[in-house]
Amino acid sequence: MKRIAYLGLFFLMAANVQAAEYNASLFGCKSDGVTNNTSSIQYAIDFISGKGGGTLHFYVGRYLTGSFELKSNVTIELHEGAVILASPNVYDYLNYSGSRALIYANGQSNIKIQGKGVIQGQVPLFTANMENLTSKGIVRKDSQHLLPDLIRIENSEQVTVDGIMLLNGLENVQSYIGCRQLSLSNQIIKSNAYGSSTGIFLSACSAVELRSLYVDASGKPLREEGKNEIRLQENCVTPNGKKL
Amino acid sequence: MSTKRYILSFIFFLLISSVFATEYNASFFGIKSNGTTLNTSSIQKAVNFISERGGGTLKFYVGRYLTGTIVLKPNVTIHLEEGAVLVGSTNIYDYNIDTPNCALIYGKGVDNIAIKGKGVIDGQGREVAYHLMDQIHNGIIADPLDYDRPRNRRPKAIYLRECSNVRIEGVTIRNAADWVQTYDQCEDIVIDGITVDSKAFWNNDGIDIVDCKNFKLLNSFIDSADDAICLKSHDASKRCENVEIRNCVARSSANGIKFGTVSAGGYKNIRIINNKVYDTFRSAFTIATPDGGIVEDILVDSLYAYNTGNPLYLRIGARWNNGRQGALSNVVIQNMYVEVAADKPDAGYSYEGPVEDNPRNISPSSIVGLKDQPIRNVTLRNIAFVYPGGGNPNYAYRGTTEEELAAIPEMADAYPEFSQFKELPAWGFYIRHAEGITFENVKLRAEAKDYRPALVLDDVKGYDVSGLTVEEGKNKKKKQIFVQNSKK
Repeated sequence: MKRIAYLGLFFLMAANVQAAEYNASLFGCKSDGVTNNTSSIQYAIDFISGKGGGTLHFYVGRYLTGSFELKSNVTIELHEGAVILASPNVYDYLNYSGSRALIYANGQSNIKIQGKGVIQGQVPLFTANMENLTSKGIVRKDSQHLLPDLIRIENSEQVTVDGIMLLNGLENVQSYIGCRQLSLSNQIIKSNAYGSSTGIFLSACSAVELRSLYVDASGKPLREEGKNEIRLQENCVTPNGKKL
Repeated sequence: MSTKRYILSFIFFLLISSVFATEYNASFFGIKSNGTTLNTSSIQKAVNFISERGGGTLKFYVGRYLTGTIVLKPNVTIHLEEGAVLVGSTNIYDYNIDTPNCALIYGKGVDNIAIKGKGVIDGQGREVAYHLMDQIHNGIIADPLDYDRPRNRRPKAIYLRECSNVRIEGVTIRNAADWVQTYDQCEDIVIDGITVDSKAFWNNDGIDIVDCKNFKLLNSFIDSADDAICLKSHDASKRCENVEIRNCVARSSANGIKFGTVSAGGYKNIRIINNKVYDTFRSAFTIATPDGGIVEDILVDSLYAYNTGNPLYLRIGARWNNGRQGALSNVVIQNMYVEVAADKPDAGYSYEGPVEDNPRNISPSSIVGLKDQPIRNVTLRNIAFVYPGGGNPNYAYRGTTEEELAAIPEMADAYPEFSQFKELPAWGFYIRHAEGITFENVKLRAEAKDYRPALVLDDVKGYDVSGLTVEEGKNKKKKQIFVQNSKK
């Protein structure tokens, strides 16, 4: 009994000290590349946000998932070798205000995705699934709106995506709509598996900073809609060495 | 006359009966093949009993035999008939977790043991690791969780230490939670015709041969999530000696055939003959000696590798060497053909190799010693390495000027891996800090144009690359060899 009390005390203390840092495995996330981790990741983000914020750490491994939403003051840290692997199943993606995304946020502030890890789409598998559904008449032919972005963030502020490798998106690798203080830096984007894939889509964003981006996309590296205020663009190139 | 015949036939029957007496069926000890009865105690009793009776064979016929750790005893053979599966318990507490290197089948200081037959050993490693993980999160087991996974207590399928006269024949070993099988400081071992199929959890090395003497690995197929065939040296006073690896096929989401990483004592007289490697994320063949180990007299003959991330990586480092200087000399690599993958060669694997050391175009083969410790006497004979080429300087760039070559970090104390320097200045071969490098009939080919030259030599004394031919797309006039601070 006494031992249990001590143990409890120890964990309370440990929990306090490390309040802001959480390993993905604590929430049952599996790095085996086959377990669908959607619910665990979403629960982790909600939990951390509810505690006032902190960092969710993903270490080396492949974390299969469908859509999840970022919340204020939560940082996703993808350590080198960690891969957030997008589910090839269209039904694993949620419909957010008419659009779909693997990683989504709306109306949040202070959100970050950082580290040397990877966010990876599985384009051939995804499109094969879609074709199958279309041929059966389950999905209509004009189903472009069902194609999820890897990252889509709307109406949020203090948004940072730093150092991540983004592989194989569909129509848009990442979309930012109505965001303020948006910083994209040190990214490697390689997205050639889908016919015309946009590296970065910006719409009505202000105070945007783009630093050290390598964008190798089958479509436009950077596509803008409406009025955007790009405050800074430095050291951003495409494979042929041109600016975005 | 008749008494004589009587005595003779009596002796004959004695002989016969003693032969039969050494074979015991598992059921004789109450061992159940139903897949649900935990048989640990019964199997252990059987092994002890047979050993105490002077030895013999414990036979398992078709069925699933659930068990925790079994400790091998002298003169006992475990025979798994076709259809028999030794199934590892998913309960971490069913293993000898208080022993370093816990394992489903464990032996220490045991002579004359064998595991034979066409049966299977299935460690159920992923489930065991998940159970262990839960116990750690519950606070019952303390573990630092390196990379968010258990550092200690993950059971191997087989661990033998200081054992001699060991034969492992014919069996299939699947799904360990750690290295699949480790032979540490063992002598006179023959492993013949086994199959390893293990992509169950992190660090699933196919086979680890650690500080062993007189070791043969023959005619085996190894498909594992981490390094497939691995020689290691954990003890600075020991080394791997007289090891032969022949007629094996290896697939791995790490390296195909590797010396290291831990290389404290070293390796001597290792022969690697007629092997195939495919779908490997890292190198087809690599020797790394970062911990003071002395590597000498190595022969690689007839090694064919397809869809691999890198052909060859030889490296001296200074990581956990405690002041001792690692050395690497007298290596002959001949009749080697490698095709390097343009995309990720291990895509689709469970526990794929990590995307790392980016940005980097496709890495060349490398021979990299240390400033004051060159790699000595490496002969490459009848070699063809085919690379995709296509290195793009806008993605990653490393030039060949004196300053740019000097700026490549030494990384002596880093984990040695073919990609560790990120971008290197050659697409085919990068050689630095070496002595006595000979290329005889070596072909390097890049399918597409690359911005880098084929070969860069930096601080190489006594080189002869007159036997090198280079092909790069349709590029005929390009200068393909860059030499700095080097002498023929």
